[in-house]
Amino acid sequence: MLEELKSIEKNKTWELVDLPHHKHPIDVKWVFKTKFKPDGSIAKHKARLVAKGFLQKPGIDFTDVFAPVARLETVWLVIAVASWKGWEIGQLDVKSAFLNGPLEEEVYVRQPPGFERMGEEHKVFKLHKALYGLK
Amino acid sequence: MKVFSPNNLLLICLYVDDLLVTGDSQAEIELFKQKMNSEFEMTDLRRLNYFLGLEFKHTSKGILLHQRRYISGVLSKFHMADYNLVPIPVIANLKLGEATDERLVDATLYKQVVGSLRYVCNSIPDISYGVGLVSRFMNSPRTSYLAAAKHILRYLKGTTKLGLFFPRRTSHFPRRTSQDEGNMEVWTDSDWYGDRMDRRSTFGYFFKYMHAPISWCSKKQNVLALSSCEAEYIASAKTTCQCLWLSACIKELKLECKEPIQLLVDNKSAISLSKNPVCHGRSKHIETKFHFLRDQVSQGRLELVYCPTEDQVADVFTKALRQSRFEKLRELLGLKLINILD
Repeated sequence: MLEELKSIEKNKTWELVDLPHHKHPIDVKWVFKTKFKPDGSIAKHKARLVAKGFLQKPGIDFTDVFAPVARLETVWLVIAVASWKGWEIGQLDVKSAFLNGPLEEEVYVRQPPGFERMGEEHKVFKLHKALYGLK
Repeated sequence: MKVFSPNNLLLICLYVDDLLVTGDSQAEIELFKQKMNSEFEMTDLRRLNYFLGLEFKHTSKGILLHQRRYISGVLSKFHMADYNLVPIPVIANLKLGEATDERLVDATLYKQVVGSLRYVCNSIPDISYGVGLVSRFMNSPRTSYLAAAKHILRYLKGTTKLGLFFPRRTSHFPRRTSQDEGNMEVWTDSDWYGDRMDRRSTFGYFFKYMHAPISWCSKKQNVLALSSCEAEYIASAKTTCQCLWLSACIKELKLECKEPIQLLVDNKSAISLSKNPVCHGRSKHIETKFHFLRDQVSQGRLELVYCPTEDQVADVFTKALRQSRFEKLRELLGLKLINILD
């Protein structure tokens, strides 16, 4: 959980502010997942902070939902070409990709359960970048 | 999707947070990785071997794609791991019709099975027809439909030795293939009123480029064809759309795609209909949108070429075949035994 929060802080995802009176904050929750190694032993316990995106109202809290996706046909096409020509195919994975997306809308979330700031429990986070689960 | 430097070609496929990068210059690939790494936090997974649940095996003869891990996960999820194997996904000439006298089965389970099968179609195209067939009964699944879906799962259990093959250019290939490498090979076929309930036809297409399978489909047509010629003509028109998109894609990648592209069809009247702008009694009702095909043919972008039914690969996407024929077409689809490459 600390790792996830650290990654969020490092990305400058949010800042602690007072909630403007006309805004509704969105709840967040922790989702836990155990990742296994190929041999079945436990690799790590992963904690991910997610926003309850279903509480967002269309038009107010979000406008469009999209993700850039290559059609599988194009992937096959590229692999066919690379294989035929004997090119090396490399693979990269972006760490916490979702947290890299800058956010245009004004979204507030409550502080994560168990990690409220002492003395500032009433404050909320204003998001600059996306969280998982957000629309 | 791509980046050019003056002399080298670098191709990038982006799937949300997963990136594939390839090109003719290893140095360019490394440079790209470094640049990306300075911008975002990245994990370099080196050579492609696991992407979107698909596994890749590299050999000296080419790349083999399979989903063994995913399939065995699906089989154990639906408690099918101990069932006996079957050699073909759908019993030959099986027709599923209305079965209102049968018991309804758990719709959620049925949808899960069909959903998983749909994903497996990405590496095992030969089940596409069967999966399309069982997908038609999602709204009220009954015992015979679930049995057909489970039959496909049992077939999959026996495919763990198969993988989709993307060959590498080698001296083993016949000499002529080096000149043919910019050729896209296209097969298209249709049955005629194969669906028992609404009498619509099922069509399929299959595309090969650089001797590797790149695109395929099995789908029920959304209009009713009055003759087999019409069904094939509609199938060819739909294939044309995919054909133009793929050839535009290939050109976008600065690769060669020779024109006219040949569509292999096993129906002679459909071929003459594509050449002849005549409008006679039996074809005058065909919707204008399908004559898009005729327009493309007259522009010289593609042509319909006759191919005997025995060699029609797309046949496997339009009906449930006998085992011997099925196995022959499966080989032509590019599904190879994994161990022969070792």
